Amino acid sequence: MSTGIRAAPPPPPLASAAPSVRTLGDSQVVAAYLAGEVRAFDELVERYQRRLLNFVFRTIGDRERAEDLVQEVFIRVHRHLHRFDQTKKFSTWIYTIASNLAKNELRNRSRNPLVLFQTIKKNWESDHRPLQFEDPHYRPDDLFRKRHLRELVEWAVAQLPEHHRIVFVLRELEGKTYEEIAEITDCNLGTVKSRLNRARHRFAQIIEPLVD
Amino acid sequence: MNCSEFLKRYSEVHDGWLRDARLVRRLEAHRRNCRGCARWVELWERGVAALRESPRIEPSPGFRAGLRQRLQSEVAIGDPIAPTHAGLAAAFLLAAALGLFLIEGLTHPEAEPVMAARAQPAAFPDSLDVVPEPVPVDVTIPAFGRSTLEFHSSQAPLGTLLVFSR
Ligand SMILES: [Zn+2]
Repeated sequence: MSTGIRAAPPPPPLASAAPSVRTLGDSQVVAAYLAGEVRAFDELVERYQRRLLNFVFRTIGDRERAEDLVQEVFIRVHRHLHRFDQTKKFSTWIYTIASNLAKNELRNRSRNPLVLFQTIKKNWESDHRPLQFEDPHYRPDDLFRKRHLRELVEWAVAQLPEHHRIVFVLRELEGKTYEEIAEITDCNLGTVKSRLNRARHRFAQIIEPLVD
Repeated sequence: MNCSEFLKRYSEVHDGWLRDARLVRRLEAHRRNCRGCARWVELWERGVAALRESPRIEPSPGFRAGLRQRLQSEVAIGDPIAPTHAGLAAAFLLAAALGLFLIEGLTHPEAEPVMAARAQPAAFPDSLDVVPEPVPVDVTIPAFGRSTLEFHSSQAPLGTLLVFSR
């Protein structure tokens, strides 16, 4: 016998189907999901999976692990969405989760030499990132002759200190504002500006000898 | 203006944080007269432009399937969720997992089905205009014990109605 505990509203009649969640803003998608429109979760995944994957990948440099972490982001979004303050910007919230997971990952790696070694080995075998630059037998000028500027700058980002790299990627690649970066990284605006400035300076320094 | 001030201020002006016209003029003047700072700006802008041209990586074909499995595991394990929301959250998790499964079925028909075939209509419609018959799925949700869910799919893949039966 059905007890009729309904966790989601019944689907609308075909003739007046709900407008696609794709046309809604993030906050409306979140509200729709919390109101029982389960399609909305998939829309959030669709909207953020690539952006977050690239952000996390740029931050930790390991594609496979980045996928794991982005899945974890969505699990946490799902787990805590009912507690999300809907007056806030959803994208900042989800980036904060991703940023924290990426930072934890880097922290764990720095404490675990075996994981660090495995990551380097995995990346070495992968063509996703030119970690060959880290091989002492390679000289950057040799490599530069073989590789494009694009790969060089990707490598340069990976050389930035962790807290500079996150800020740099959020600003230069994800286009976040200073205020958003401050919220995502839990820093004040002064720290964000300072880190960004240092990251840009260091980035230019790293590529300087390798660019004509 | 010295080089140190230039490096600090140029970044902020570039990002639109500072909009002081006089400062902008001073920065431009310094840049014209200082080869070092001009070189820094050139490298940074050129480097970032190259970085933005780098191909963005795409989630692997198994990404959604992996996410679906993990969402299902959340339900199975009974992750600690605020008690007042436990039932709803569990239902949402399962619904999302099922929805992701349907998306996977539609977009990657070759993907290995993880949820029992019972949850999927024999031939999944190419057009989302068809509403399949509800399919009962036995699940165990911590807040409700073993339950039967009637799984409906409406026009969009995640259009799901959950009815808990005991
Ligand atoms: Zn100068």
